Amino acid sequence: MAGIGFDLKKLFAEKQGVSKANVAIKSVIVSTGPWLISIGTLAALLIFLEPNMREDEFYTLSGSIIYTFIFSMIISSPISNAATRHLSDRLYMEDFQSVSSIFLSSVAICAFISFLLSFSYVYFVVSQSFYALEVAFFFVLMSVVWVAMVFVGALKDYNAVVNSFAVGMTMGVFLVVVFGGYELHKSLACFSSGVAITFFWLSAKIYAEFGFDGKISFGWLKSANSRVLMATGLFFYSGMWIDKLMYWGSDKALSSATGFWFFPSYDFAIFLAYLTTMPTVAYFTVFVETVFYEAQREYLDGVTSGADLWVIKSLEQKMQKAFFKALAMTALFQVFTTVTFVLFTTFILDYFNINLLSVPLLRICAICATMHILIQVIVIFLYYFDFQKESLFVSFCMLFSNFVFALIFVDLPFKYTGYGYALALLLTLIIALAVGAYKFKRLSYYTFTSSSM
Amino acid sequence: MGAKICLIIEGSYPYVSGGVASWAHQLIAGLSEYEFEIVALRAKEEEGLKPLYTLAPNVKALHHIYLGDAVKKPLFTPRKLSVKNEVLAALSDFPELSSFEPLAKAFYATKNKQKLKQEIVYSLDAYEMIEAAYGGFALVGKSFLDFFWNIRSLYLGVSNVMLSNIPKADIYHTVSTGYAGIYAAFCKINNPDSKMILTEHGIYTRERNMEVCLSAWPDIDKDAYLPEDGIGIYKNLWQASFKAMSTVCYKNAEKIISLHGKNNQIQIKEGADPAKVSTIRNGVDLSAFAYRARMSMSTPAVIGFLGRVVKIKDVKTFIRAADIVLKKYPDTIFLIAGPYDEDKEYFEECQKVVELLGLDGKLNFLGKTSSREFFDKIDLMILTSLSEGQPLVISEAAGCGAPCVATDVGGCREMIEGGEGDDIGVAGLLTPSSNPSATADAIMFMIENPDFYAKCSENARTRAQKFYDEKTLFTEYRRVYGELLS
Repeated sequence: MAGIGFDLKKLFAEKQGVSKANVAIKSVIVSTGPWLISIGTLAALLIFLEPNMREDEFYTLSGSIIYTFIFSMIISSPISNAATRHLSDRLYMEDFQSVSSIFLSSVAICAFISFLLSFSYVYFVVSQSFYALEVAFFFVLMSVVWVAMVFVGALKDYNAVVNSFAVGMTMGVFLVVVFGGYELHKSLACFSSGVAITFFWLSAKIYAEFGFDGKISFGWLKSANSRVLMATGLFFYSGMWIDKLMYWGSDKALSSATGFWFFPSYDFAIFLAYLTTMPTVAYFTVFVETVFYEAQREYLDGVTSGADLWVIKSLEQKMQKAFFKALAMTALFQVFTTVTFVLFTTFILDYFNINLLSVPLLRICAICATMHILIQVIVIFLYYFDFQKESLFVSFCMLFSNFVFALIFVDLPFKYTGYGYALALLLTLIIALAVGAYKFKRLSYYTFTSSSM
Repeated sequence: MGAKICLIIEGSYPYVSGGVASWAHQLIAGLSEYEFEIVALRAKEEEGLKPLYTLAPNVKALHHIYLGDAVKKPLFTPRKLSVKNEVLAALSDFPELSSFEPLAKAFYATKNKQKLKQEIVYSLDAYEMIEAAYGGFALVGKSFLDFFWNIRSLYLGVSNVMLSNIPKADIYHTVSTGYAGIYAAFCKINNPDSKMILTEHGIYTRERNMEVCLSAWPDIDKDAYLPEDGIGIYKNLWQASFKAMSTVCYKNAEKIISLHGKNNQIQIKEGADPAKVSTIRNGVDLSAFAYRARMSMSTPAVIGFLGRVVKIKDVKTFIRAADIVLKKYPDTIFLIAGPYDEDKEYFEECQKVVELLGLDGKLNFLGKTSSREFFDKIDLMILTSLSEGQPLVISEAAGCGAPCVATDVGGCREMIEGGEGDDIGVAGLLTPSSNPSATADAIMFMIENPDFYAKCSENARTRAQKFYDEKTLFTEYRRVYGELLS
């Protein structure tokens, strides 16, 4: 994302006053747009359908959509993680011909896994009917959309990403409104059509740029690098969701006759808390990642252009400072956003005497979101220097610790909800910081000994 | 069967033909009462590489050490270098390496050799030692990346040698210093009942230094390689390393042999103990070379070059000399015999020079040829090498009665003009190296002075019989091996 960060940073430097605020909004949209648009349109869809749809059908549809949204990200992230790295390598080697094949193979593998899992789940748990097939297609489309988004993002066409999501998802809602008839099958089919528009838009962008040769090759998935990256993606996203899934499977969850389970208090608190990370993601993309990227480029340029050891050491120190400063700035921004948000939310809820949300739970979730984004930043920086094993380790720690703490906390009284996740993230954050500090302190050693001989 | 000799040869026998390889083959076959094991050091493993020599029945094993053998990066990079103290002690007086013995013992005692190799290449300790060395050299403004890769290549080669298995032998006989010398010393130190001999054909450090100076280097930091005031820090580093390898080899060898007295002097100058130094000349089987008394050159004269078509033989000087001679004696025939597949690029360059000078048809490349038939065919043998030990071709040509015009390198002077205790007289002419005019003048002198030519022919045969007969070579090595084994 550093590429778009530079463009936006330049815009910030050029604009003044109101225009500067517009750039800030653009930054948020570009860096978090696909998620915001997806969440926004899904929410709009459910709000529109709820009053007029049969209750059981509504719960089935909303369950299908929410589960699809969450699990499609978990399933696509390993493929996206490995594919973007392989894609970057091929682009660096100026091997533009293989882009089509990498994309096609990524989509194929992602579609295959998505179909298998979603169809099996819906067929055996929810409904042994044509609906299972419908959900599977929707799930496949969502998964491949995330993959296509990552590809177009890697090609630095951020406008295409945002536009395709905006048009596709809006069109999906529009089709549901016009042709859905508040009916389960039709509504899902209509919304899927919108998602399909997004996918074809993004695919067209890739093929227009690099051509389509119809070839498909899975060879790159077999490399050790790809396996590590896939595992990292899987662990990271599973690590984020594992406790929620365990709560859904507990007595606290709202049991649904439709086969979808939820724990609304926790789900909603987490959803709101993670919304607060959106401005931080934008801030990180524009102001933090760009500074770190520049420090890294300066360091690597120094190494490869024949700098002496003392120059390399000073650039290494600069890198270390950039790493810790980036973390501090991100943390500061996120804490500020979180505190403002929590105070504001608490005030609104109190003022209107709304008892929708447990304020302590919202607070702990906001702390979780802060720690989560810091872990994510460290993992991103570890990727910058190709510390893949370490990224895998941090991601695994998140999955494992969240699983273990969830086992302990899931049966405790409601007031302890979220604390297991918080402890897991705290532990992971400490480990990630230690790993990051260790690696960046010995950056030259790892840089020079990175290649085999 | 007698005792076992481990012959250690770098980049030559049995895969490359030439002086050292011929000598090794001859020695093994001639000393059939001994068992031999050969350790061939090569840069890397090459698929389909076949020996050029049929190994004699008394060769019991052929081992390989690949200097550039890669080491796979481990999943978890090691922090510690388990032999750190020994390495630091050995390097403390680089390039003297007085503490080489504990280092060799530590390497040998290591059970997991692959792990140690990974530590050497990838450990934090090893990296920090490179940083410290760079600081020690105070290379302000010089590329650390280049320094790092130079050092890494160097110690990869040394560790590949010192992490190899040791064949059981009574004598470790190395044919050069360098990596082969280090390996021989390593074997001897870890097999205390054994002895070590060095037979140095050319002076390894000097030959490698010449290669280092002639080689192409990366141009990240040109100043570091070609500064105005010297040959550059990295070239110096390699030279110092070769010097260190020689020092270790000279120190551990019981006998230091060279092919001629001039090289003995250089060995002493390079640090060899004068008490260990001696000369054993190469010899040829003179019965295989039919002597023909030559009273004058044929008409037209046939001038020959026999050797590998490689840079160090400086074949281009021969071609340019031919061009000069042909201007005055246009009927003269020039022949180049010898394999040209070792350095194909250089061979193509030579062909290009022949073409540019318009010598097609007058100068011919014969490829690999029987030396006996070749010397019978020619009147005069030419050698234009930049460096030599004691070239067998001069002895072989002399055995046939063909005089030689040779560059004044290595043992050529001794072979042409005679050394200590040799008053036979000249058997040819000496010329400076890289000097086509001088070579051409010498050839024309031979053509124009038949009496001198005839005398040279006679002297050549007499000298070959007296000093360069292989029987003398075998007797001498039997004596040396016998002395050490007793």
